Amino acid sequence: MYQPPSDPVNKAKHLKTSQLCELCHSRKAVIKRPKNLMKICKECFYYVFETEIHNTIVSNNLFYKGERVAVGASGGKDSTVLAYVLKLLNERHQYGIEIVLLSIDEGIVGYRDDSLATVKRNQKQYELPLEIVSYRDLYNWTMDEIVACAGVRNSCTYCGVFRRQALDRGANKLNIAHVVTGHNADDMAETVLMNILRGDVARLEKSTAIMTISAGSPVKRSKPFKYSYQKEIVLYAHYKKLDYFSTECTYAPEAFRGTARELMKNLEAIRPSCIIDIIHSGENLVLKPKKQKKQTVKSKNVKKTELNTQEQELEVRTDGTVSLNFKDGNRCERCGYLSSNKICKACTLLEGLAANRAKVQLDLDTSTDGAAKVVRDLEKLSF
Amino acid sequence: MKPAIPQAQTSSNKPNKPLKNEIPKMTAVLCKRCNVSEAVVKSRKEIFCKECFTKFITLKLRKMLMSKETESVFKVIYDPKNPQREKEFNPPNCKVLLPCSFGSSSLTVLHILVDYLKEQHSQHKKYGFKLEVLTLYCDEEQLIKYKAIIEKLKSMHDFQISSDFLKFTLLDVNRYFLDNNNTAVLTIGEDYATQESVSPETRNSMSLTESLQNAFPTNKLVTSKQDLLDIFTQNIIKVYYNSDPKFKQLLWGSSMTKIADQVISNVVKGRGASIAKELEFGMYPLTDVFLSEIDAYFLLHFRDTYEELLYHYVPQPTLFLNKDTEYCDIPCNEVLAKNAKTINQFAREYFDSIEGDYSNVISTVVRTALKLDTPGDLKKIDLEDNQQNQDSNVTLCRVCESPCYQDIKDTEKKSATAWLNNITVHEGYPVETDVEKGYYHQWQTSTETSSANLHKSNLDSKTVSLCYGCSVTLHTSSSKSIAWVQKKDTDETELQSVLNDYILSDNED
Repeated sequence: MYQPPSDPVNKAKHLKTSQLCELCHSRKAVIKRPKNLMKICKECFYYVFETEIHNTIVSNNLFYKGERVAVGASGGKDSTVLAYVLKLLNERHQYGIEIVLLSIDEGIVGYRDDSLATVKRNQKQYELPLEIVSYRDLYNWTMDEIVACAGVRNSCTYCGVFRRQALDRGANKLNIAHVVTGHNADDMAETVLMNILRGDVARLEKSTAIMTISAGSPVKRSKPFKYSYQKEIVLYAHYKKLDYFSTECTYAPEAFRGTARELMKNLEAIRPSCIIDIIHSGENLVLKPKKQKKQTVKSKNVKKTELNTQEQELEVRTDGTVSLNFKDGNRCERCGYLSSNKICKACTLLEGLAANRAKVQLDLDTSTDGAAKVVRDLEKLSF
Repeated sequence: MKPAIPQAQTSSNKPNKPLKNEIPKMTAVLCKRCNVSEAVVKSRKEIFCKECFTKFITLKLRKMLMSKETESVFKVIYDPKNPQREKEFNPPNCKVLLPCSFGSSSLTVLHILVDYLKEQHSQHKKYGFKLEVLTLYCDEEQLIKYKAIIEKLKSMHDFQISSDFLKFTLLDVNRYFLDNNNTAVLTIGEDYATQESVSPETRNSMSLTESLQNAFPTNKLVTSKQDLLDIFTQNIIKVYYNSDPKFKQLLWGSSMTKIADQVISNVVKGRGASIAKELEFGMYPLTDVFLSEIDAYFLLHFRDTYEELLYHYVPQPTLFLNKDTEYCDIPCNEVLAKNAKTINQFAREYFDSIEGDYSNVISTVVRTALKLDTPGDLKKIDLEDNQQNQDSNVTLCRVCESPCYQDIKDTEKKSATAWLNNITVHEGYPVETDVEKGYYHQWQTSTETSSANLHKSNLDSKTVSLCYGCSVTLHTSSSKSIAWVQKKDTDETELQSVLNDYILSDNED
C-alpha cells in the first residue's frame, strides 16, 4: 500500500511552557497586550477585550432595557469596532437596546464618500439601520466650500462645531436620546493632558466623564471605549477582519493636540500603563471651590427681586467687566439647540461664512470638484 | 631692507587697535531698566544687566516670603503689645528648613536667604529666623562630595554668616531605612491586591538602595525606581520637619519649570488626586521663576565656582546674550536614551520643545495646579491626626502615606484595586479542546513548586491598601514585591532620638 509522506509544513509542533498564553495557559500566545504587556492568545484577547467593555457598560449603567442607541459611525476603526462589539454584547448579555448607525456627511469629496461607502457596507454586514445626515442639508454648506471660503487652518474648528451639533440633530430626527461615540482611552488621556497644558480649568473636572447629559438637550452621549486602548481596538479589528476605512481627513492640520499626543507616546515607552494612569488622574482632578465675589455694583433704584436676579446671572469683577455665569441647559435663540451663550457657535460660524460667501458663482457646482479631489488628482500625477 | 620690515609690522598693528575698541561700543546694548550698565541677560522679552537681573529674581522670591501668612516667620518681629508673638517668631524659637540637593534652584534660594539675613542684621542688629539646610544622601561617595560642597560654601564671602543662624545637616537615607526595625515585604498580586508580610528573615538586612535594586533589577524601569526613592525622601523631610516645633516654615527650592514637571509627572503616574496636597505642604518661593532664569542667576554669581558647588547638575546659559563667547565652555546636558529617562525628564523635554510655539505652557500648568483641590472623600483624613476611622473607607497609602480609598470588597469601586480590576480582566477564555487541556496540565505541573512557595510566604500576611500610583508602580516590578518601612506610632522624643543617630551635623566636624 502506498503511504504519502508526512507533511512537514503542517506538522503540529509541541509548544513550550513559555510560549503559552499567560491567561488560559493552554494555547499559543500570539499577542503582546498593549495594556499590561501580557502575552495572550487570540481567544483570550477577544474575551478580555469584550469583557472589559461589558464591565465598563455595566458599572456605569450606560444603557437600560428598551433604549434606542445611535452609534456615531464614521467608517473608521473606532466606530466600526464599536458597532460590532455593541451588537455582540447586546446579543450576548441581553442589554435589550436597539442600535442604529448615524453618520455625518461633511461633504469632503474623495474622503467622506469613501468612508460612507464603508459605513454602508457595515450596515449590510451587521444588519443595522443607517441614517446619514449631511452638512449640506443642515447648514447649506459643505466642508469643501468652507475650506475654500475660510482656509484650511481653521477647518477643524468649523467641522468640529458642526459635527457636534449635527449628531444631536440627527439623533433628534430619529427620536433617539442616546448617542454613543468611539472615543477610546488614548483620546481621553490626550484630552486630560491637553486641558492641563492649556489651563482649560472649566473642562478639567468633566473631561473624563463617561456620559455627558445636559438639561438643555434631550440627547446624552457616552463613550463605552473609555478604558480601551487604541492599539487594542486596532488589533481587535485586525484579527476579526473587520471592514473599516483608515485614511486620515484631508484637511486635518497638525494642531496643539499633536504635541500632547507625541508626549504621551514617548511616556508610553517607559510606562505602558500611562494612558490608563492619566485617565485615573483625570477622574480625581477637583477644583477648589470658587470664592463668592462681593457685589460691587451699587444700584439704589433697583428693587430687591431684580437685584437677586441680577446677582444670579451677573458676575461683576473688580476691573468692571461683567461675565455671564454658566447656565446648564441654555439654548440658542436662533436654532434652539444647546449653547453656552445666547447664540450658539454654529450659528455664529454660519453668520461669518454667509458674510464671506461669493455673490456670483463661478463654477457650476463646487461640490463636484472639491479641494480634496484636486489633491487626490495631483497625487496621481507623475513627472 | 631690514629696517623696513619692523616699520611695516608696527604700521599694520596700529589701525587694528582702534577698530577692536570701537566694535564693543557699537554693539553693546544697555539694560532696559537702568540704562546705565551693559545688558547680559534676556528674559521675558526684556534685557537686564547683572544688578537689575539679580534684583528682579530676588524681589520675586522676597515677595513670596512676605505674604500675609508667612511674613511673621521671616521678618524681625517687634510687637510690644504681644510679647508671646515676639518670642515665638524670633530666634531661637523660629527656624526655617530648606531641603537642598545642591542643584541651582536650592542654592539660589539659599543665596538669597543668606543675603536677606545679612541685610536684616545690618539694619536691626538681629536676625528674623534661623536657617537649616537639610541634605539627604545615599552612599559614602555622595557624603564626601556634599561635605566638600559645604566646606566650599562656608569659605565663600556670600555665605559668611554666624554659624548659629546657618546650619547644614546631612542625613543618611539608607541607614534610616535599614535601622528601622519594622521593615515589611509588600507583595502585589495579579489582581492588584497588596499583601504585607513581616518575616524575620528580612529584618535589618536591606537598605533602601538594595530594596529598590531587588524590585527593579533592569535599567528599563528607572522611572519606577526614582518614583519610590522620591516618595521616601519626601517622607523623611516631612518627618524631620514635624519633629521640631521650632520649624515654622519649610521651603522647597523648586522652580516653576520643576513644579510643572512634577504636575505632569503626577498626572501620568495616576496621582492626580495628590497634586493639591503636595503643593500645599511647605512653601514654593520660586513659583514664578523659570529654571533658565535660575541658571542665569547662578552663573552670574558663581561663574568660576559652579563646578564645585553643584552636584550632578550643570546650569545652562540659555538666556545670556553672549553665550557663544563667554559661556562656550559649559557643557550641554547629555542626551539620555529613551529607556533611561524618567517621566519628569520627558516632561522637561516636552516643555523645552514647545518653548518657541507655546511659551506660556509652563506657567499655565503651574497656575492650573494651584487651582486644584483634593477630592472630597480623601480630604477627610487629616495627616497630622493619626486616627484612622474604621467607619470611613479612606485610609493612608502604605507606601507614600497619602490619602487613598481602603481596599474593602464591600465599598464602591473607588479603590485602586477595584478600579483596575474592572477595566483589566485577568481571566482567560475557558479551556475547550483536549490539546488545550494537555498544555494546561503541562503548565500546571511546571508551576507547582512556585505556587507552593507562594503559600509559605502568605502565612502571616495581611491586606493593606495602596494608592493608585503606588499600586501600578509596584506592579511594574519584576518580583511584584518590595521591602518597605512600616510606619509606627512613636513619641516625639523617641523619634527625635532616632533621627539624631543618623544626623551628621557640622558641629561634629
